[in-house]
Amino acid sequence: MNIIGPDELVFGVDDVQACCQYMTDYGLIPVNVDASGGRFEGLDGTAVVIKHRDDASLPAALPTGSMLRETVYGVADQATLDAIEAELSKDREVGKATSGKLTTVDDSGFALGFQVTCRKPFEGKNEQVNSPGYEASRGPNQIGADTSYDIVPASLSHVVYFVPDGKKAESFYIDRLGFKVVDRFTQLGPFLRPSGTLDHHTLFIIETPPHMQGCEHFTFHLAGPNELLLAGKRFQDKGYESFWGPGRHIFGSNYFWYFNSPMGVHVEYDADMDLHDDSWVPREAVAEADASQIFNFTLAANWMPGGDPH
Amino acid sequence: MSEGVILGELAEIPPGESKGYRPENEAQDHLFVVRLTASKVVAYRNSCPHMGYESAPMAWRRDRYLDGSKQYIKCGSHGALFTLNSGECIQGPCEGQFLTPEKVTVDSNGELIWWPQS
Repeated sequence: MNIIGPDELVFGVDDVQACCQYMTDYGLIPVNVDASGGRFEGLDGTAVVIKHRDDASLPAALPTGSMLRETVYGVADQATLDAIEAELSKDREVGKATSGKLTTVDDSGFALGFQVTCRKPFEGKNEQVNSPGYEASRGPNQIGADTSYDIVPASLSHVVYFVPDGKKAESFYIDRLGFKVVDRFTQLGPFLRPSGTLDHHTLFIIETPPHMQGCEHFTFHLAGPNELLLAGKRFQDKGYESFWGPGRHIFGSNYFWYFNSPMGVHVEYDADMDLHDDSWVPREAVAEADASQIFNFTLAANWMPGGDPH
Repeated sequence: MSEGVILGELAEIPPGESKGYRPENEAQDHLFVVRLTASKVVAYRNSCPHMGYESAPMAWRRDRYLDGSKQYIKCGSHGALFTLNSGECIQGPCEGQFLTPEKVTVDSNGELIWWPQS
């Protein structure tokens, strides 16, 4: 199954205006946004979609009231869509929208969509670092501390689910859709990679009591750690509430910075995630602070030593 | 008996809205106040009781502790909804649990006074 990763996350929210403002301030590009909600795109066209929770076009909500209403996966081609339809139709209803998008639910009750991916080529920024002992990647007179541009997150990276039955949840993605376990936190669950990407994970599953079922977070990739730090600082300076970070994870190696949101999920900026192929041997670790990150900082106000001269 | 700490003016909170406070200049809000009516307030510690996320900050943006209807406190971590008057979670990952109440009064000058519990 040549599934690439999430194309869209669709939220049904109580406060459309707040969520639209939030996604705009996060840096995504608003597309067709009005009082009823809209679409917020990264550079490659992957998106978060905001609608009112009573919008009739939304799939049913989870009993827990989670505002994540649909995860739409992008796949490589029509043949992959046909294969998914054939596989999942064996034991569940699979709908087909006029656009060709398939709609169904996973074994935990999360609404899913599958479509030929909306991802489009884009010109990214390459964070260039001058490392001693290596040829400079940023030459003479090229400035590194560039704050002159608006940071637009590049690509929807991953989503994280709270599920009531972890084994059942992961089996669906592994056995039915061909995802691979890349790494695992023993008492939480696996990081999963579909076959159409080398990214460390596009889905992380955490087992919780049933009444907690929902979404822990989602994130878009940024160009690199410098862009992540600058985007997070700008976001926090606008009053948004940092939850965790900035830091750098161990599984996936991605830099992270998580924020609270009006969608009732954490929203992350991430950058510089590891790539893996089928030769990788999954690691497993007990989930604890030192296994989760190599460092974790808290933003401090800009400052410089006073006194003149010194 | 502990001494009261002046948080600020009640008038800084529009009726039906919320505001966070950092009385010891903390990096994040220690408590938040919801102005229920012209003169009545409730206050809670800025700490979600969600298991595994205890002490997580709750606002999604500075001073934004309420849901879209302004009828509930909403946690910006995972969307848990709490009643304004009792702080009981009625939907979400900490359903049935309570926020930690803080005692905040309004004095005759319209100032909000926080009474820390020892």
